[in-house]
Amino acid sequence: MPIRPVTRPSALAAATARSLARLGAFRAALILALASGALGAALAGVDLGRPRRLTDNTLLASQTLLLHAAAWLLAYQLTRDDRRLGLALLSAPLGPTGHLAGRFLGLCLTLAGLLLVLLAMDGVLLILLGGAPVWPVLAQLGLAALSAALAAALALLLMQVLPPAGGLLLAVLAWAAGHGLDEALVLAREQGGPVLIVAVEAAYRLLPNFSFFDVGVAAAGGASPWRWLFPLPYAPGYAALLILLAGRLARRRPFPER
Amino acid sequence: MVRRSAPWLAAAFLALAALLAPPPQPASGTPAATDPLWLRAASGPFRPLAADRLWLRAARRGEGTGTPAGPALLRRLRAVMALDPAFRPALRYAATYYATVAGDLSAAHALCDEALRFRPGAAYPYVLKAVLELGYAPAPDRAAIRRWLDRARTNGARAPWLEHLRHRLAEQAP
Repeated sequence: MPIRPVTRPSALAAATARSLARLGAFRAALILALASGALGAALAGVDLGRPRRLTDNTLLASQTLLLHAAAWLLAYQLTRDDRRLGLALLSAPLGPTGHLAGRFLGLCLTLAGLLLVLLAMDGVLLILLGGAPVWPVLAQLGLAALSAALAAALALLLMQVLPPAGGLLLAVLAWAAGHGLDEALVLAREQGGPVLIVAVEAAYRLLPNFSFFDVGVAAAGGASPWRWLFPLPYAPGYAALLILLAGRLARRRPFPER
Repeated sequence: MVRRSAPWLAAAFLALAALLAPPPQPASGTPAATDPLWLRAASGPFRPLAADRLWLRAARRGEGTGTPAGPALLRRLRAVMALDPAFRPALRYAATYYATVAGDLSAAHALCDEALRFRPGAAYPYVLKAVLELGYAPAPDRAAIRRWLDRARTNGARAPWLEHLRHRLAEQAP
């Protein structure tokens, strides 16, 4: 990527999104998205005449994995480029935090494009299949995209303090652990003492909690509206926090690593 | 100014998120030795698909074998309910199987209780418990049935036949 001074994070975001869309990783993600749609269409034959469950769950699982894998790979690519060229430190007049924020926004724009493709494909497929309502599947997919964006922000943060590969691995583990926080809290309340309950409760509420993004298609009808709405401000707010922190850490990196 | 206020904004955001975060599904009852909570934690966002796979394996083992259902099958079905407590067809078939074919009503109730453990606001498991108790218990516990039907109604079940059943049980109460 050529080093050109940019004055606004939005311009950097647009440039980043364009460059990411040309990457092989993004093209591979698009191909996999279409493949998951084909898999859903194949499973639709299994679900015909029955409650539409296998198609919904397979589509959601494969596309959740796809969105997160794409987010992590794109974050890894951004960090490697920045490290190789020292872009975060040569980012005047933006500064490292503005630079990272712009890059992250560009990553989110790229993910949004991928999400739109998935939503359109799933919507058409599920409407043609008929049966159960389509909106819970599309809404859960939207939440999965928010989760992927937050996971990418976490990866960008961890890759500021660790080598890119190590930071990425730790980010994946943190995402997996984040999904188990609700179970940890249930277990602590059932079997733990007061100190453990307070500690796990604090972790549940303060650490990046990816279980907030799982509503479940079958449970959609019984889930409270707040369960759907809370992730909408939570993901961007927490991602902004992580990017701010990443920007602070980026200032302290030595110039540049080769 | 943004740089100076960023830590305060971050702290305010975290405080707000901590206050407004939706709670996890509250659990009730004593967890068994092989608690499917670990399975839930391990499967993360892929719980419904894991529930599908376990259900398909359990259904293949259960049907047409001619052998009584063993503890392994019940553990697998409990895991299905823990992974996806809204998986209504699995709950209906499995609980009915235990109440009828296997002749083990307590296992049928255990499956409904597992679903309620992770979705205490659901109505269907309470309805199923009441129907199975009324239909297959040698001496149905009518007080428990009335309690379950009341909980089902509180949780949103409004079918006319349920209302009729509630009223009949209330009339017959001592």
